[in-house]
Formats: sequence, C-alpha cells, structure tokens
Amino acid sequence: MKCEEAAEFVSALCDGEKIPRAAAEHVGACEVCAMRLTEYAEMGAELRRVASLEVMEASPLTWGKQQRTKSSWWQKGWETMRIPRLAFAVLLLAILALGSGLVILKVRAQTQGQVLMLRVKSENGHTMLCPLTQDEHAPLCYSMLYLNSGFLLDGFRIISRDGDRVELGVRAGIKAFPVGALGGFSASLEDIQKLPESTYWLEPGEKLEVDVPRAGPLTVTGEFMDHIPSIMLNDREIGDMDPGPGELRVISPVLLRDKQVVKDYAGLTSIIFEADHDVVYFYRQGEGLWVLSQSPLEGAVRGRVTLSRISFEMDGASYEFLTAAPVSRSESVWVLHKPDYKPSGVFSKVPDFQGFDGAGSLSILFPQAPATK
Amino acid sequence: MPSDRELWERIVKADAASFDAFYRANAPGLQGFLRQIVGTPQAAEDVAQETFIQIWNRPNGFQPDRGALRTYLYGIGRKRAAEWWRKQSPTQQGKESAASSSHSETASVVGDAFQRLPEEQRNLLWLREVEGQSYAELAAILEIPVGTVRSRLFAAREALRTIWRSPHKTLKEDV
Repeated sequence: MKCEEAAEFVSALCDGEKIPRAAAEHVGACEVCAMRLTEYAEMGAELRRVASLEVMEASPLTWGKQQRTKSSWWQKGWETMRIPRLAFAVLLLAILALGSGLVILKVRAQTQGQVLMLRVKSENGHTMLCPLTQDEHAPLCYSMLYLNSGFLLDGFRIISRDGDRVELGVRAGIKAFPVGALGGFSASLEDIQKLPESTYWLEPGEKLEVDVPRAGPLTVTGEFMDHIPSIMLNDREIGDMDPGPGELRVISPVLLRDKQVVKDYAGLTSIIFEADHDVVYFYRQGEGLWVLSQSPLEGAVRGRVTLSRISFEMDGASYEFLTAAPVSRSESVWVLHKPDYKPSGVFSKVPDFQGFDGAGSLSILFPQAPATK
Repeated sequence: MPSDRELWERIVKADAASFDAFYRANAPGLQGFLRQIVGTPQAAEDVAQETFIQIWNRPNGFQPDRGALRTYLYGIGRKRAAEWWRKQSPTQQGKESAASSSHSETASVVGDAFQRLPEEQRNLLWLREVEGQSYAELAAILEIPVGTVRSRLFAAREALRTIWRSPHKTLKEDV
C-alpha cells in the first residue's frame, strides 16, 4: 500500500476507527504516515485547547440570563428591566406563544451538490431512492412495483433547475393485470416511457404528492448531494464499504470458473442486513439459481471470503465470485447452486422470464426448503 | 441523569427545569460550533438562542430511536445558522467574515490555519475534534452518508495540515 492510499485511514485511525490490515501494517512501518498521524493528533489537541479558551470567554449560560442579555428583536428595550426569573419565564413563553403564530420560518434543506436524491414512497409503504442529475443523457430512474391490481410504474427525471427548486418530469401509472392473466404478465421500461409525462416543481425539504389513479399518491421528497452513493438498495444508502455485523453483501458479482468468466451479474445488489433474512439469491435463465448463506445449507459448499471475493470448489472446478464491495465480516459463506432450478408461482407464468434476485427466506425459493443447519 | 427519551418527553411536556438543564449542558458547545459558521460570538449566541427557542416552542422533530438529542440539537443549530446567513446583507456578511478571523486573544497557529478552511471543513473538524461527535452523529447533523464523513474529515485534516505547515501563512497576516 502507498502513503496516498493509506492517508485516509490515518485520519480514520485518529478518530478511533478500525482500519484494514494492509493500511495498519503500512502505517506501522512508514515514517511519513506516522508523522501524519502525529500531526493530526497535534492539530486536534490544539483545536481543543483553543476551543477551551473560547468557552471560558463565553458569557454566563443559563436559560433565563441568556434571554435577558441577548438583543434579539423581541427583547429590544428590555435589557435593564429587573423582574423575577419565574415572571420573566412566563412572560417569555407568552411572547413566544404569540410570536409563533406570526412568524413563518422556512428552513431549507442543504442546497449544495448536483445530485438530487429523490425518496419516492408509495401508499403501501414501499420506498425507492432515486439519484438524479441534470445530465440529459442520464437514464430515467424508475421502478415497477407489483401490486394486487397490477404493476405500479413510475419514472423520474430532472427537466430544469431554478436555484433550489427542481422541475421534475414524472411518469406514473398502473398497468393493470388483464382478467385471467393470473400473474403471467410483465412490465418493462417501455411501458413507463409510454406513460404521459407530468411536470412538478420540487423544493428540497418539502413534500410533493404525485397522484396515481388506482394506486394512491406517491410521496416524493428530495435533497441535494455532492455525489451518487456507490451502493444503494431500495430505500437504503450503504455509505460504508465495511460490512456491518451479520451483513452479507453481493453487489454486481462476476462469476469465474477455473479463472474464466462464466457470467457477469452486472447491477445485481442483494444484501442481508443484520440477519433480517436467511439467504441471498439470484436466478438467471440458463444459469440457474445461486444461493448464498452465512449458515450451512444442505447441498451447499463452503466458500472462503477474502474482501470482495468468494472462492469455492464445486463439481471438481474452482469458482470465484468477484464482487464490487467487501462481502462479509465472516471468513466463510455457504454456496448452493441449482442449475436446473425452475421459478415457481407467478414467475413460472411469465413468458420468457429472465431472472430475479433478492434476499429472504429459502421457503420463497423452494416449496420444501433445504434446511439451515 | 435522564435518558434522551425521558428528557425529550419532559421537554415536550413543557418541563422548564429539564429544559433549563438541557440548555445549560449544551449551550456552550452549540455556541462554539455555531461560531465557526456565523463568525462572531454574539451572532453565535443569538443563533443558539433561536435554536433552543425553536425546540422549546415546537418540540416535534426529535425521534429518540434515530439518534441522540444532542445530534438533533446540532442539526437544528446548523440549519438556523444557514437561515441566519441568508438574512444577512452582503455588507454584514463581509463584516462577519472579517470578525471571524480576528479573535487574537485565543488564536494559535493551528487556530489561525483553522479559520482559513472553508466553512464546511471547519464545521466538520470542530464537531469531530472539539465536540467529539461520532461518524454516525456527524452524518446525521450534516446530512451526509457515514462513508462521506470519513473522506471529508480526511480532506479537512489535510487542508488544515497544509495551511498549518505552509511557511508563508502566519498569524500576523490576520492581526
């Protein structure tokens, strides 16, 4: 590891954070990084020293006294008046109670950054994160939510921006299941693009309601960010590359067999958060079903986890999943492959069904699920 | 000492004694932080007052399950400070900026370098180094992802270190 790669970890070390082994070894052996660590610590200590001096300079701090010594609009002309503290507090509350009805405060969200992170919540509680930029080539951010009556389709893009306000182009509607379809029915991006586009102005920090007939309103909020989070799953941003306790992350994996690329699962994101699900799974037509678990599974082989790799042997061949982010804190995961797996339920009736992925219970995948040991 | 949840419930019920204790425990730290944003002790005191008044007057935004009460307080303080800046005329903003870089009684070489940092980096370093806020708390106050906190803290420290070590940047330039 080079100093410039380790530098950020030196800062994290200064904050009491754990750092990767490679960074720790480098910092321990590198005089430049050791000096940087010392200087960071010195700077922090000096800031705290200066801050301590400033706090001692501050005026006496009690709620009542502070009200009397400050010179805000409602106090002008009252500085020299002496009244009992309780009486003053009552007076203050009365003034505030009256004042609150007269003053409209408008607190705006952070307006820095070029990325508008939309949070779109449907009436059934499903939330989608949608990072938007004003780039005309940016793809439409969309979702297709399976409801009892059909697919709720929605897509968002930025049309223009005026200061803090953003003009949004919104396509939203229901693609209803035909009578007798019984689930053998799908939706696509093309369906969303066929929907008429409505425009709305959104100001970060405020709520926008987009009415969708037969599906209830979509509640849209947004805030500006300076970047698009590298990992997102539904309504969660995964800000930290280090997996949390109990997490199993499979993000955009590439499968190798005997060092040769077998399949690129680009864009796939399946994560178990803190044991809230049993397994991560992904199915693609022609490739079968892969199931990964942190507990032993019947018929599964043990895989070794090294940062963003899962290595395992299966049917006399060596396999590796190379993923876009560290997989787990655990050193092992269990890997199950069902090459002949056939989707059941709704998916079995969709013509030319391509695949699915997610995290959940084995019972979703198998009528008689392989047991975890 | 009551938990954040208990303290908040008392504040919601207009328990003035509990609010007074909350104020006394947190006002100095909040004022120190706000001074980094608004520039002068008087303005920081005013904004801190407005922050506490807002909480006392409209105690309706804190969710104990999602973070500490202190984090909530600092988040509101930061927004009130941003609001305060929007109300300043350009002339006043110039005065405040000048005032913020001339606190000679407490200045030091690092403190001087610190004042040269952009506001965002000053806020972040102050909350981390002086207030001891955790990465999660910083993320909540500044409304950024936790991973971004780490990278921005590093950038802020590097910027401070660069100014601090620069031989041409001395206290005398500001005094």
